[in-house]
Amino acid sequence: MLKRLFFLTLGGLLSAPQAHAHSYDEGLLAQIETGGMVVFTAPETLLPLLALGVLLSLWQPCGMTQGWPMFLAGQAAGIPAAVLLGDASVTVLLATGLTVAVLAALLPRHHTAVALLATFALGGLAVAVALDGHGIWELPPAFLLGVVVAINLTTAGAAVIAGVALSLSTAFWMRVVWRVAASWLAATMTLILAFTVTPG
Amino acid sequence: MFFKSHIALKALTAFAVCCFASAAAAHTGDGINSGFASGFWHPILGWDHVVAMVAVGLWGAFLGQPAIWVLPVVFPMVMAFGGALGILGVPLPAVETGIALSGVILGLLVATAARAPLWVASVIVGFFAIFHGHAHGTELPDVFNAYGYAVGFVIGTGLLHMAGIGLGFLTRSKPGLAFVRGMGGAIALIGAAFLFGFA
Repeated sequence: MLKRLFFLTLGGLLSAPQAHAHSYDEGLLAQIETGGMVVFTAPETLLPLLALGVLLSLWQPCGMTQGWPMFLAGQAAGIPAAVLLGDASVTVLLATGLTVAVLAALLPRHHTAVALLATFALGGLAVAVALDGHGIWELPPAFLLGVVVAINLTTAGAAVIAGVALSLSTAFWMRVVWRVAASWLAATMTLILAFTVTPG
Repeated sequence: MFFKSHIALKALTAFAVCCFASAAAAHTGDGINSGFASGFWHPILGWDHVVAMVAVGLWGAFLGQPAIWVLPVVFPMVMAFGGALGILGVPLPAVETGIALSGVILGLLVATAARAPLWVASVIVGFFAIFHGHAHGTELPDVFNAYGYAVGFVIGTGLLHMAGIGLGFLTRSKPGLAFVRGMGGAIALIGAAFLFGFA
């Protein structure tokens, strides 16, 4: 049985046509990918979201799940906020992300209100930064879908990694490891914030 | 006989390989052409930075919980604040003196196994961190990727703290304790060498 499966797989691999992934220029998938890459290739968006993921897992074992409705609400609010904030959205996102990272690093426990407020704010600001420079309905919905998927994947990824590590070991030092990671994120965001506000 | 000739053959082969080896080019600085590498190596290749950051980890280990991790958490964040001041062009007086003095003071605190309340230790460490960060911020080369530099700089600094904490665990044994205190003395001397212009 296994032998037959092996030969079937081998045959399939040998007869497989050349991959054409990422070669499309137009269409729904291209727009989703473009939206996602706006988030994935921007350190100023990724770092605050990673800090949020760490904070949520330090707050509650299933912090991401509990904060998700607020996170999605924030992302919805981020669409009109992009128009209101304009170019300032990057600076505000980094400053908010920095605050979240500092809180995650320094506080031993987190209040629910703080965690949910941070979730709402960063969800909205991340969308606002991704849509910066565009009108509310200017970009296609598929592009927006890509942005939203990337924002949620990044934050959930960080939260899951931190959450699994924290559930695997309840030792004191495991929380310390994630708080140190949050401090490194805070330090990096401080420097990037300085680069962002420095003229030239 | 066979055993001896076998070893001799191995030795001759090794000797021949050594003779034909080209000159090592690692750590010459020529290859540091990316922002991450530049930021990563910047704190690690400067002895004045290295000794202070290792001393932070060592002193944290001496002070025990929670200082062992609070100090390495405080240092990068305050250092990044100093770095931001440097990037923004905010002047800070006597930066090099502050960096050298950090080696002397932190080294002496380790050498004397000084005890201090957590907030006092945090203020001391944070005060010196600003000087280290400011130096890194002002020395950022324009050609490098700023984001990569920031990430590399923070990771390089953090790893030095980890090294300090790792060495600090030696304090759990008596000979280790003496060794770590001796390291504190050496750090203070290196700091003094920078302070008085011998290094």
